[in-house]
Amino acid sequence: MIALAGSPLSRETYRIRLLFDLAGMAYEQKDGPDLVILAEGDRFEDAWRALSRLAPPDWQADGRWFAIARRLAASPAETALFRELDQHLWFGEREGQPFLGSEHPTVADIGCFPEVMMSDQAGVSLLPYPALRRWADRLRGLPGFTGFP
Amino acid sequence: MDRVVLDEWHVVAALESLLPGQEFPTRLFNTDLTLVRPAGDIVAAWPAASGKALPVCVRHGHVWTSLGTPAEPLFDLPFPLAAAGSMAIDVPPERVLDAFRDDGAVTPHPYCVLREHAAAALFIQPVDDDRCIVHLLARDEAGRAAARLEFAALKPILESQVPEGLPQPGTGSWYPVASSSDLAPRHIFHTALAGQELALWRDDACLANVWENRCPHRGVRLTIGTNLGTALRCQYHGWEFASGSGRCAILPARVTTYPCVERYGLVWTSLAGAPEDIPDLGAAYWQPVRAVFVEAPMAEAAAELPHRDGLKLFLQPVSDDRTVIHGLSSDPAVSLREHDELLTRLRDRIEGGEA
Ligand code: FES
Repeated sequence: MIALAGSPLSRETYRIRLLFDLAGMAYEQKDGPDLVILAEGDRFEDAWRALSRLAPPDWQADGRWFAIARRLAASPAETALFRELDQHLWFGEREGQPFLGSEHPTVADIGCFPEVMMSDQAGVSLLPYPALRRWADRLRGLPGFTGFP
Repeated sequence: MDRVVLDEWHVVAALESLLPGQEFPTRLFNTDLTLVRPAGDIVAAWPAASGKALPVCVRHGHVWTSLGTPAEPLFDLPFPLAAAGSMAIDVPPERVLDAFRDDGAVTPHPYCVLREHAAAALFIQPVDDDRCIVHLLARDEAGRAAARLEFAALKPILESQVPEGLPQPGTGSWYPVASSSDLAPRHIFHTALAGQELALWRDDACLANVWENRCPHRGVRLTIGTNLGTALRCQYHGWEFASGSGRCAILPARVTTYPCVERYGLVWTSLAGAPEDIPDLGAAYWQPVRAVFVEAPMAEAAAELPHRDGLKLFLQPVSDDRTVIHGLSSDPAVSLREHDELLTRLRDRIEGGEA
C-alpha cells in the first residue's frame, strides 16, 4: 500500500491525498513501502511530480496544466488567472468538459483546487467567478471528496 | 393592540425545545423574545430589544409569557396532555382558530383550542399579523402522531389561501443578476446588486429563488450553505429555509426574498425602486453570452457600451465600483466565443488596462 507522509496541514500533502481519495486509491497516512514523503513547505513541483507518477491513466492531465497550477500555487488569488480559469470553465460547461482538462476530473483539477478553495475560505470572494464556483461545487460533490483540514 | 389580549398569558415554546443553558429565540406579537432555561422548570424570558424580564409560567408542558400584566393564572386542562410538536404556519392566528373550532371544541383561552373528544389541544402563538406557531398537544403517543399528521395535512391548505406579498414585476427597477444556466442543479449562485449580496438558487422543481445572502439567524452567508432541492440549509446551525417563501419550517424566521423573473435566458430581480419594467425584447430568439465582471462603477461601463445589431447589453451594478455586463445575442452567425472576445476587450478598456 502507498503511504503518505507529510504534514496534513500542507497544501501539497492535501493535493496528493485528494487524488487518492477521489481516485479511490488505498493509502495510509504514515511510513510505508512505496514512500511519498512530503513535509510542510514542500515544493509544488514535487507534489505535481508525485501526482503524475501515482495517478491512474485516466487521471493524467495535459502538461499545460502544470504551468497553470504552478502559477496559481505561486500567486493564489491572482485576478487574471482566476478570470482565465472562469472563462475556460464557462465554455467547458457548454462543450461537455465540466472539469478543467476533460469531461472527468484529472490531476489538472487537483492541482488547482486547493488554492481556489483556500481563497474562498480566506474570504477572497469568488463572487466574480461563477463558473469557478460551480466547478468547485462539482469537485466537492465527487464521491470520496475530503476537504482541506 | 387590545389591552385584554396583551395582558393574557401567551404560549411561546414547548418546554422540551428549550435546551438547558442555550438561548432560544422566538417571537410574540411582532416582538423578538429570548428564552433561557437554566434548569428544570425554571425559564426566563425577555424582549431581545430591552432585556427587561417578562412574567413566565410553565404549564401543560409549555412556556407562557406576557407582554402585559396577566391578572389571572393560566387555565387548567381537564386531563393531562403532552407536547406533540410545534409548527410555524404562514396564516393569521384567527384563521387557524377558525379551522380547528369544530363541534365540541372549547376555547379556554383566546388562542387555545381544546378538543375533548379527541383528547387533543392546540396552543397558538401569534408571531406577527399573518404568522403564528402552532403547538400541538395530545394524550398519548398515538394521539400525538395523529395530531401532527392532521396538522401537516391542513397547513398547506390554510397557507395557500394567503395572498403572496411579493411585489409584481413592473413595480421596481429590474436588473439581470445571472443567466438561467448559472443556476445549476443543487448549486447556490453568489452575486450582488447595488451592494446587496444575493444568493440565487434553483429548487428541484426548477423554481428560481433570489434571496438576500444572509441567514436570518446569525447573519451567516447562505452561499456557503447547501441547496437541498426544496430548501436551503444554512451552514452554521443548519436552519432550513423553504424555496419560494424563504421561511424556516420550525422557527419564526424568514430569509429576505426578492422577486424573480426568468426571461430571455436571464434571471431578473428588483430591490424595489423607480418603476421600470423588464425591457421588452419581442419574440426574437435571445441567447445569453458569457457575463463579464468589471472592476468599475456602472456609469463608467455605461459610457463605453458599444452598439451592435443582434446584441443587447445590460448592466448589473454589483456595488459602487463593480459592474457585471450581461449580453443577449440574437445573431446565430456570431459565436459565443466571438461575443466573449468583444466583451473581455470591453472590460479591459473600461478597467483602463488596455487602450
Ligand atoms: S446562522 Fe444560525 S442557522 Fe444560519
